[in-house]
Amino acid sequence: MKGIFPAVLLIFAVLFPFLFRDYWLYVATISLYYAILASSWSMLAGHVGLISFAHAAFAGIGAYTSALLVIHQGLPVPVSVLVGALVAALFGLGIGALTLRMRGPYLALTTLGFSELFRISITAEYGLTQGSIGLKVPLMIEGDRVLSYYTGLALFVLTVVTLTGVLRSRVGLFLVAMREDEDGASTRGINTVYYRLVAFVLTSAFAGLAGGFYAHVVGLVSPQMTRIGEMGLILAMSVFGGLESLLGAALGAIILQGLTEYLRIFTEWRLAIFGALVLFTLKLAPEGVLPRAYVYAERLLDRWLGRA
Amino acid sequence: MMLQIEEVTKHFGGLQALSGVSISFKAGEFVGLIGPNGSGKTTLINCISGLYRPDSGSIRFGHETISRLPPHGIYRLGIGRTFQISKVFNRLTVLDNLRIPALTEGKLHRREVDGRSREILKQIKLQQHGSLNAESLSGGQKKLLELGMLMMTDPQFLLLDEPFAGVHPELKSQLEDYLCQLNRNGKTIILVSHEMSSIFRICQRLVVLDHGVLVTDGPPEAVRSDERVINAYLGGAVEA
Repeated sequence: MKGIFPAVLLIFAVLFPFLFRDYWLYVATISLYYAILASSWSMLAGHVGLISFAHAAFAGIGAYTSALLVIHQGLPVPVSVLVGALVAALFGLGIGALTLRMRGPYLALTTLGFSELFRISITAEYGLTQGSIGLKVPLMIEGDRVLSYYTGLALFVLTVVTLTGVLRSRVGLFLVAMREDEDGASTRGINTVYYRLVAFVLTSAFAGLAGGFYAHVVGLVSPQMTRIGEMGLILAMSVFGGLESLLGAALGAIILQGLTEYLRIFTEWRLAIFGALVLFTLKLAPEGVLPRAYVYAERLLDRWLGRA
Repeated sequence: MMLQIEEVTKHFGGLQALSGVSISFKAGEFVGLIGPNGSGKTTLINCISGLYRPDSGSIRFGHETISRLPPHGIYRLGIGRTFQISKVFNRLTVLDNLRIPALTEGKLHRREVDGRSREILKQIKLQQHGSLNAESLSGGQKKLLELGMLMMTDPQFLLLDEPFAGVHPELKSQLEDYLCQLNRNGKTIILVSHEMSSIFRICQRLVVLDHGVLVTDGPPEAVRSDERVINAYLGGAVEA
């Protein structure tokens, strides 16, 4: 069952542009941006136990780096997006090296502070970033929506495959062991600071990659994409879909992004609705909606097949 | 000397957990570390294994000073430990728990690690639990799993904190025999336990701590007849 579902999802995703055009295809493309952010954040929070509030800021770093490189240096979009991911990873390395030796809420507090610092800096640096008006960015693939969608899908698959590969490797085993018991892990030979840093840098890089992609799909980057509300949205998507399931978190992102479009009439109240959704998820299905759906689907299948 | 602790001091706020403790351990010794609750036994083990940094003093392992090394660095030098309250990885399978120490060492190929973990699983008599999460094990089984994790990488110096706690009485005597066998095979063992009968049966030397101070250090017979130990720490005559 768990193997079939991702395959069905992938087939549907590949066929999506043949079923939907224009507006919904654009919404789906933006959903893929959030899916990359939510799945990479869920790896950090769910598997490593690190709560970072800078994921949206790392996306912003990727977006602004890529945008500025294309505008001022004339670099091709794919190269500038990759450089954006690399710069986000470097910022992740710096923040991680400063905070990951400490335990408890220090990472959460530092990343929250960094996120605000970054947002205020890009708002203030009007000459470079056009401040809160936002920076106009060249579109990728001359704005071709279908190709942009497939690029997003490829980046999303790359994210999930890479992170799943890491989680299934010995590094993944170490990360879960560290989350379960840090003292137990370190006294069995795991260099906990190093592996936390690896996870933090890796997920920061994917956030940067997502940000670069977003910039050249929307054609505009603004400090709005790094505000704390955006971070709350990523958190809500991850918790709703399933913190310990990369695919679950991604699906959470796609569902909530779709809901965002339906709930436009509620303006900022949408966030309150998402907040309530998170609370209900934590109460009724703390492992997330997708893992719970698997359980129900398996039960239904068993009943249908007449198995005990 | 294999391990040399010199004038180690550790305090937590106003509590002096260790006050200028100096002890040496030779290779191949089987030493019991005893003392009443709060005497500093676990703090000393935490200092040796790197979980705590001593406020002052030094700890040397062979020719290397280890008192400033991180826990994983100390583990890689060949000092392994178990915990008073088992620190197994509850949401990983028993087999994955066993694999982790060998994978951190990186000496064995993954297939060899799998083979060794199944071998150890049999030795600790948990072969029916291999694919279950460690959280499903009893307290005693978790103690065995911790020992099994130690055996995966074969460290030369073992710090065992209450390994008999919660272990079934039948299994306890097997465990005692097993520890003696490990010691005969060359392992240096420091055993912290409140099971006095086991301590006096299997240890060659006893170190007694109280209120963070070294009270006495010597062969079990001498410690048994030491008035200070009998009256202050063992609460009367000791039955072996």
